[in-house]
Amino acid sequence: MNGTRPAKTRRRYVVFHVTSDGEFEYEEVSQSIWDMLLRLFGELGVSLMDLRLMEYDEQSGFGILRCTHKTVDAVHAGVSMISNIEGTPVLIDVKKITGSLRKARKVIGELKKQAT
Amino acid sequence: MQGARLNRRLKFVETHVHLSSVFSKERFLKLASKLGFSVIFATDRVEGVGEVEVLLRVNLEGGNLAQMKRALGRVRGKGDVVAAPCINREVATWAARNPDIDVIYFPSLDHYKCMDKSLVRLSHEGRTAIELSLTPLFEREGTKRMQAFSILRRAATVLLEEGAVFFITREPKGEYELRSPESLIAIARLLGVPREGAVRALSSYPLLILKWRGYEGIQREVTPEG
Repeated sequence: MNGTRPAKTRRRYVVFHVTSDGEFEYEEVSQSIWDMLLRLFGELGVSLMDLRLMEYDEQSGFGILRCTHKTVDAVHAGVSMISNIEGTPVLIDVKKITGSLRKARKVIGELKKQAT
Repeated sequence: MQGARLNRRLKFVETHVHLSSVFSKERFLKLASKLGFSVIFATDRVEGVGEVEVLLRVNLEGGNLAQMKRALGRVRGKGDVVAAPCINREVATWAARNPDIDVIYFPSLDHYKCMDKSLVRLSHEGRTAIELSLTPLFEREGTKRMQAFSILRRAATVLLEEGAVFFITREPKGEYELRSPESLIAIARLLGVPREGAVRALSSYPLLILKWRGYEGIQREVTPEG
């Protein structure tokens, strides 16, 4: 041990909204995101993203995607390029990028309030 | 916060919307407004909804230069923005230097072979913008999308090197094909377009073209970037 700690991964939380005529389950949204990012950036690229769909609300269409701060732009572009889920046309719009999950949840709460 | 939100004072423009194929135009315009667009160049005349101003974009039609010239004669003064497709080198050169044409665009990826530094310089002299459509990236998959990335990246490099006035569009034909300005910027960055350049292509350049044409409707409120 030389006394230095490994650098902590700085994470980002991407708040997104799915607009569509249909409703989708967590698994379907997660699969679409993984598929698109794998096709665009390959296995090596995605392995660096520390990617995880933290949560997705089927009814409101809001979701939170986790990635690293270095790959957030690539994730944003990839998510924006998804044009359908299970053959149903969708528009996935990134609403905000935050540094904590708590803040991301707060943002979703505010956006839901605005919508009602 | 990373991927900082865009300056709210900026007016973003979706420069190529096919409203004829949109089921509910009102819903489309509301969604466009929600996503952050203030102005839309649409291929059909409709009234704006809410905060979205809709300007009529006329795309010239024709199979050769003579037909394009006739088409321009017919539409002159009828649209807010006149666009010409670069179907071949001859038409591209004519359209780029023609002061009556506001935008030149490439109907398919094959047509990007017309684009080089000399065309960009001509468009600069003719005060004509060049449109970079991101549509092929959405419509293709696998090796074909790879090819689209390569062609569009090459085109973007020429535009940036020559300091061209250019637009970035998703060319939506329906509401689910719309993408927010922030999303278009993120995708443009995959093509090597820096963030500032992409913001200009979606905001100040379309408004600059309108200013060159003497359009006053939006200009009164224009807040130039930075």
